[in-house]
Amino acid sequence: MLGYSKKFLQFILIYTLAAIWIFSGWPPIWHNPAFPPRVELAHAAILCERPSSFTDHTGGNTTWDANGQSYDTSTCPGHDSTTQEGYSEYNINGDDFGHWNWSASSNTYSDLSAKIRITTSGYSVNTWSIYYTVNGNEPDSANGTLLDRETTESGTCPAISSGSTNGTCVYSVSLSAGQDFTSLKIGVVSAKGAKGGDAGADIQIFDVWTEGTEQSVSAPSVTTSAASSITNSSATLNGDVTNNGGEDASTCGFAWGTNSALSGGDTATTTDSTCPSGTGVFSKGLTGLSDNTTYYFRAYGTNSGGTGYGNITNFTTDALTYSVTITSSGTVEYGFVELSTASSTVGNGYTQMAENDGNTTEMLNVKSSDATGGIPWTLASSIGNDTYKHEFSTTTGATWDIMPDDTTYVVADSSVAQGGTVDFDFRLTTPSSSSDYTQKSITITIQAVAP
Amino acid sequence: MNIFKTNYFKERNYEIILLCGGIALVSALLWGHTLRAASTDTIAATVTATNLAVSVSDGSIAFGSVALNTSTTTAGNSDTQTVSNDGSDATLNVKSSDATGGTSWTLGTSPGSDTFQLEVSTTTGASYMTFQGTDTYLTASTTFTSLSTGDLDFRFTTPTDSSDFVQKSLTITVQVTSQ
Repeated sequence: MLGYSKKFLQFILIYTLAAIWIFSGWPPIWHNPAFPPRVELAHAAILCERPSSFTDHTGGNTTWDANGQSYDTSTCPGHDSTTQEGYSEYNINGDDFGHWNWSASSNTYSDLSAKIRITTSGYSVNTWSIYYTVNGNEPDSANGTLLDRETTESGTCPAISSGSTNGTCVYSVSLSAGQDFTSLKIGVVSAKGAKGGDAGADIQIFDVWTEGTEQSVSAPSVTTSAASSITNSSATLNGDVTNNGGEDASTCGFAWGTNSALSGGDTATTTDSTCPSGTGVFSKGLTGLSDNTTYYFRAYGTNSGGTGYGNITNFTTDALTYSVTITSSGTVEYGFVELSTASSTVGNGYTQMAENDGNTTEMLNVKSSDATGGIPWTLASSIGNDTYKHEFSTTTGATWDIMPDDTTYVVADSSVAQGGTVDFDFRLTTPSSSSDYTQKSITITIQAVAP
Repeated sequence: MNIFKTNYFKERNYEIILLCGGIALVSALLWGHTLRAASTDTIAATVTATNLAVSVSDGSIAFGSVALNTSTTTAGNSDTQTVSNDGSDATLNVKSSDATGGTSWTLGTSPGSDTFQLEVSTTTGASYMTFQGTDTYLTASTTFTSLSTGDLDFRFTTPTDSSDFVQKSLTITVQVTSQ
């Protein structure tokens, strides 16, 4: 019984270690970013961001004094209203103006607001306003937007600005999630002097902060789009980040290969260095692919929340096609030619052009048929009775190649690039004697084959 | 006995592997051939040979003894001349020389003293064309088809008077030219 338990425990231990290793995500020995999976924990919390500095535009009595108190960074003031942290005074006097600045935040938020807690007391005549800007401008009356009163914690507070009420209130404004903190400014503006002569207790600024719910970063949602620009040796892979999961993907790419499961030795992985900002498409061009081959691929995107994958899809590269088209008239009229006489197309407008309209480099061959019509003429390397000779030239008549019979292809150009053209001239020598003198028809065939 | 351990099975197994490999190789070749099938395009060329060749049969006419200022023709007798176009389509022309032998007779458009008239017919004598002079060809046919034949008849009119009465000889030339 004890032995059985020991083996059982060993079994459990081994498989536990195996499971830990599998889900550790290391090492990626299969070239498959989908395996082993990385397990991410979701988390969400209220985070606070305190201003990093205060800018006093008017000097004098407009000071920001933390009064020796420090912030409790573990919680936001709004969630702990009994504690007034960072007690300070903003002593309004005349056209005073000062604003708080934030440093860049390393956090992302699913919601975000900027807040300020103020206690007003003992005012006679004064006018003050709280503005914010998010574009870097000074949060004054000309550029800023007023905050709204969010809560009244004690006494009575004006909706915003002015009034001789006494109370402690929080003013706030909702900001866009992902707000650039470096451009956030909250400012207090006084347009009128404070209560007579007392420049020390007009407004007590207990706290200025931003708060929001930390966005839980999850793996991006990625879809695999159809491949495009497919040729016999290249293609463009396309993917789409449809949701960044709360954090832009830092790595986007594609797993691809000829194995439908994207695993095994024939699978390679390529990555694209450019991910979309937020959501959007990304792509990667592949070259050097094999012709007429099915490739499987899927897109992926990675952020701190993990890696999201699109479905595996596939494309097939084009088969190599060797094709030639006569782009000229396709007809040659030698006309009336005396016996034993050569007639060529050089310079008479019957030069023919052949174009490689396949999708790869090819070789062009040419052959000629016997001449039909009445009593046929036989094609041969030299003329005779009812035997004619037919030649071609790709050098405008500088050199000629004989088409020896009606079955043999002669190489005209061993390497014609895709889209390339070759000019053909032909020279026909009539028989030394002919059984008739009717018009003869000849078919010249241009053939495209693999080089 | 375990047959899987016999040499027989091993040998057969080897043959099977070879056979499968051969089938795969042939299939691959056929597949590759299919994928790489050639493409062709054609050019249509035409030519017509030309050759000017004519012959006459039998090439000899004997008008015989003819009274002065009298016509005699080959139409209806055995001296009709058959002209063969031994070449390509052509135009058939004919001319005549003066008549030699003794005092020559001159070819004229009408009989005269020592002047004879010669006419040619391609309609078996239904109509005649008159030779205008020894240097002038008459066009007998503008559509003398290749490898075809045509009959020519000649009508000879003797001079109104003659310096002598010896036998005269003349040459009729048949010519084909390109149309």
